[in-house]
Amino acid sequence: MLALAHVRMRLLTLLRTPAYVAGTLAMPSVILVFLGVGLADSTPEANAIMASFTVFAVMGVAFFQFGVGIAEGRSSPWSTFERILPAPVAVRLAGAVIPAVVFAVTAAGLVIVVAHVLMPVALGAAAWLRLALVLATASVPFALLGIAIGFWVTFRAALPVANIVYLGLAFGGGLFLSPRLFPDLLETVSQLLVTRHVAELAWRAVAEAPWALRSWFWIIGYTVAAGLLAGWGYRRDEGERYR
Amino acid sequence: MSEVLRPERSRETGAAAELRGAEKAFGRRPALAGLDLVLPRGCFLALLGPNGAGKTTALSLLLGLRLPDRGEVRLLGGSPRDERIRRRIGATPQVTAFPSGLKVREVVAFVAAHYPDPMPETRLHERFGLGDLAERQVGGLSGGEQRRLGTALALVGNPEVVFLDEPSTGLDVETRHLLWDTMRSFHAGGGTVLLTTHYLEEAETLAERIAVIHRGRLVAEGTRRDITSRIALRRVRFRAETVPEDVEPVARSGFEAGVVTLYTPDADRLVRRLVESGAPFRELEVLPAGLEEAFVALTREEA
Repeated sequence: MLALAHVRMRLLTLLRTPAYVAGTLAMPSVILVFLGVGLADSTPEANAIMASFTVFAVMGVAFFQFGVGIAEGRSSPWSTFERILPAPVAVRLAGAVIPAVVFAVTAAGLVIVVAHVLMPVALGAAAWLRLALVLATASVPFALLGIAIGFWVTFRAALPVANIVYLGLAFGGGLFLSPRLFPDLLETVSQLLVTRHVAELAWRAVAEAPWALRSWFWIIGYTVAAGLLAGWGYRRDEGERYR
Repeated sequence: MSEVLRPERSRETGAAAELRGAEKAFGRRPALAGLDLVLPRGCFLALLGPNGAGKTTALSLLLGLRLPDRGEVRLLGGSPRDERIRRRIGATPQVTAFPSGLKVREVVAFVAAHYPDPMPETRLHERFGLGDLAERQVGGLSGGEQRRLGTALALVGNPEVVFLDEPSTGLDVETRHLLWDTMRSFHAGGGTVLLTTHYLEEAETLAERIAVIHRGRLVAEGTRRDITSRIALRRVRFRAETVPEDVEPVARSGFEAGVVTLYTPDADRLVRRLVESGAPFRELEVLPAGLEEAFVALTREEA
């Protein structure tokens, strides 16, 4: 099956890129060990920290695979060749999305394993389910933001820009350090970031507390904005329509 | 011969590929300025032109990679953006294009998966000498090996039409001949080929017809013999006070610091005429002319 060939190709390419494996798959767990583990002095605290880092893991995959991947694709002759190959849009889409899901699940899975080994985490089935829902939903605006960066930034700049945005959003959203410790100004900025709202949903999921509706609205707003930016970038890149 | 009776194909009597008045500019720089090009079915056509003539742009329109600003593009009677049409063509990727971590076998299998009736792996390996390379990572291949792989990828889908962009630039002689033989046998089997090149030798060796483009326009098109005779100019150079008149054939002449340069398709006749005319000259030399001069001469001829 053609979609399978595309998925396989992308998985193999990424798996044989050590920088990608180390940076995207292993980094969230490594940062968790250095930054998170020491702060997890109780089960609720450990649960929240684990939730933060699963968000960070999913965001990394969505951001780098789509963002940098697209910027790279725009400048790579191989992707030009791939465009000549007869494949329907659905197949190309599957070839991009399925490997991303596989990597996101792997990166988040590593975080969960590390958290279970080093921290006193304990989640009920409902909490797991709600966390998974938050992560799956949040991957959409993250991927769209990555795509927007990929289309608007040149290949050389894509990696540094994606890194700055990625780490900035992660820190500002309170994924590394609980926002309880934020000074006022940072807290004000934090409230404007998509990561903060995803994190709020993730924390409430693991704390088995009800979600605040406004967080979902923020996420929807970011999704629409990033989608428009990505669509605009795609149009600009494509340059012309076929008539 | 059941193929001929298939309604889908019998309706397609037109060209394998064609551009009609194709215009394309990148920013303010025009790459194609109203290019008309027809690739007849079963033909081996070389698209010849100097660097920057618009060959690659013309190819990218035919492959559906870019859209013309104006004009029409047709591939096998349809749009090059139609994937059903693209299933019937093949093209080579640029060298250095390969995703370096993949093995030769994996790249071949990936590309083959796109076609309804691909060439069996063993036959492909045999034909392009890829057997020993199958397990090697693409990034570690030499330039010649990559080019062999690229050609194999263009043919793996058993296409009707193959597009080759500057296939032998920077190739060693052996690989070039392997590539040429492959294209000849593909063509002998009824395949249509469009090859872009800036080497007259390559166009001359392989193609039945040659289309010459210069500055985004078609300046000459015809059989190999026809075009070669018009394009294979020689330079006749000598010292003289003025450019002698009434000597032929001259495509273009120049005069600088007492040196006359005449570009001619027939140096023997020109020299004979020059001697007969009695015009004074010294230090006569006959030299091959670069293709660039021939293109300029052809462009003037058209204008």
